Amino acid sequence: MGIVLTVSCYIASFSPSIALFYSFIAHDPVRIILFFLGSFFWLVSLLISSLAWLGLSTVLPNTFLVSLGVCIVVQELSRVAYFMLLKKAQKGLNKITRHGQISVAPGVSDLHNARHMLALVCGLGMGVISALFYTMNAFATFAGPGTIGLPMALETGHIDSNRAGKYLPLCYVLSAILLTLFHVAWTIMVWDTCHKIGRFPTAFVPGAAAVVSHLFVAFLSSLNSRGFYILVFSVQFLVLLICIAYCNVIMGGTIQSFVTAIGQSFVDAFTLKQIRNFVEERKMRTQQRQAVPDEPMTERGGASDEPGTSNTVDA
Amino acid sequence: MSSNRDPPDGGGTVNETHTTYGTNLISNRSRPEEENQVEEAELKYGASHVIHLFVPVSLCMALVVFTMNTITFYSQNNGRHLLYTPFVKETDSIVEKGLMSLGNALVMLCVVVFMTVLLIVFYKYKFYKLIHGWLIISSFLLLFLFTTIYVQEVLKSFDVSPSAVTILFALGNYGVLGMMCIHWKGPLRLQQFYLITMSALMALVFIKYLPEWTVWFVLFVISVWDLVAVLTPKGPLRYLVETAQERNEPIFPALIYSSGVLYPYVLVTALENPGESRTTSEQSATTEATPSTSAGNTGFAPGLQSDSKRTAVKRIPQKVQVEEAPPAARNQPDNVRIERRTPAAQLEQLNYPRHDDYQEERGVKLGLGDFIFYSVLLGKASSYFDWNTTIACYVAILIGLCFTLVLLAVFKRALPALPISIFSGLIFYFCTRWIITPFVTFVSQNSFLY
Repeated sequence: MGIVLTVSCYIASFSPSIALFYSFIAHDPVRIILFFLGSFFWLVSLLISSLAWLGLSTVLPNTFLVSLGVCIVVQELSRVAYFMLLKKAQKGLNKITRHGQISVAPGVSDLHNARHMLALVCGLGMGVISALFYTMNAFATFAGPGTIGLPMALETGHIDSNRAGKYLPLCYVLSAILLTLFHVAWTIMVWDTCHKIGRFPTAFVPGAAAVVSHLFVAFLSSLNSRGFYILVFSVQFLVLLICIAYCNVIMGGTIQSFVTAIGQSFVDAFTLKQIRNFVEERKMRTQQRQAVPDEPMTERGGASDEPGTSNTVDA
Repeated sequence: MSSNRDPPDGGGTVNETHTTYGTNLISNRSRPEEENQVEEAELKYGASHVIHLFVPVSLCMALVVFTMNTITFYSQNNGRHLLYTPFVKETDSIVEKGLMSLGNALVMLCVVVFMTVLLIVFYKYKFYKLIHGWLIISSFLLLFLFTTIYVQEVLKSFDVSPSAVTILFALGNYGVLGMMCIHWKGPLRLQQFYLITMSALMALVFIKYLPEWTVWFVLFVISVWDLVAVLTPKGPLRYLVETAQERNEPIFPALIYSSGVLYPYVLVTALENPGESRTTSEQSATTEATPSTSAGNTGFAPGLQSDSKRTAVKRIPQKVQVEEAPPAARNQPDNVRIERRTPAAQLEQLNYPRHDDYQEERGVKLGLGDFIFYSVLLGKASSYFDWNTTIACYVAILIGLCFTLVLLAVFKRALPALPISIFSGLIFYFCTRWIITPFVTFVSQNSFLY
């Protein structure tokens, strides 16, 4: 029983990430490496913030909020550092790649054209590992022996931070989904700032929005310990929706196109478009006996698809 | 049995990643455009090769971690230890623990070094039969004995009790099939499967029988040894490679994992090229490393590993010629194919088409010893029931592997795969365990998202 719960928790928490991974990352080895590099950067940022926490706690009496703030800022800084690294790599690759040639590493050398796609890849790496860090130990305890949050605990009225009772697994699942998707959105926003900084006066807006929303989400989640689960999660998902819409705007879409894309994704989900496409493709392939060439990834594809995926999951 | 085994297999736990780069390639690079294309190809194929290594390494680790978390047999130590770790006194003193672990690690290192030297001596005087026999015996033991123990524990912990006949039948078939795949021929996937399972078994044995702290010291010491043996001018592994080059033979088959696509290329290089010699040396290095660990209880296992490596190498030629030749042929003009079978010297005289060079570059191989020690690190990390540590080590090891492969592309010579990965894995293990996890628990106890 416990194991079934754990497995279903994993499936539910990481289905959005798996969907994104499968559709945008899995087919390109360079992207897979960048994905892992993203998670490594997040890990390093966590290490730095833990060190800061350790250092601060010897100096100051109550360092919790400070170190949490440090942690968030360091995470955003690690995104910037990652961007710098890729920028350097791109310069190196541009020296190698001649004009007019098809790049061998579309993820890296076309940083200008595919920068949002790249942000998605790296942000997903960060999001997945942060979600793993957040949930894995909890999920492992769900597997038993004994299950946290049985109704019994509620009846005794014992107040602890994990007061969600039998809905605790659900809370963890929702938090994991939030974390992964938020990291994607934040990375897109921060990288947009990094890319445009110094060229447009308003370039700092996306980055600042990312930091603010990150802090805001962290603050909201603290209310969970007082039991406002429904409220907190609805506000957080609202913020997520706004962030994704904003990312869509950054990528060149409009609010209008965002709404249509969401509507379309709902329609597709209900009419099983994926399966229809798959069947049709199979038919085409068997008729033509030809391999279908990979479609080049474009920004638009990323922009319209990402909200769609996340939204289907939310629904 | 053990006495037979030990002499031939000197070995350490040295693993190396090898990419074979054709030496002729350099001559072809006169034109800048070609150079660009070569670089691009390196990047492209390098990336996909990294993934080809990611998958088996992850599978091996997953097997070990799964076993560690479900089967208590391997996570408990019942007081029995390897022969190589003489200092096992229970004590609470940290200093004493540290010294004893260091002592154990050094003893193991001595064994490894001794075995490596022994292997080189055997190789130098061409006692091939001895080495081969030893490898076959050790792989036999690994495939039958260790697998039997493993299956027994799995059945126990899942409370399944099939009939003895069923078990015997299944295990016998499994072992025989494994021997055939490793030493003779068999489907590529099956061979890879056997190599991965065998390294996972070996890693489990290490985790079970090495004392708590000794594991970390052993990992550290072996990484350093790997570095020394491969890179120093007089390093034993390097010497082995050079000897193999002199003799111009695909040498000492070691335990090496090659991703399927690579097989043809690897083979080609091995048969034809000067570049090939590098591969062989790498292989030999891995073989050496494995035997060393095989003393004592676990002695069988190392031997087995080395066996499997060997067989793998042997097989490769067959595979290339029979099965894999078509894909390779695709890229190559016909003359290349012909060249393959000609001796290396003749080949050099011919101008190689660039495709050939590509193929050489594509060959990325990872010694089974690397698999084993990565898995040991991860399995040990997961034995404290903290998944954060496991995940951190996993990511750190994979990134280290990536970095090693980048260095490989830069230096174009055999490199030890252990040091970078293991060091970053160790750093993240200790940091996560002592610093990150307290912080993370602290934060999530207050139910903060961060």
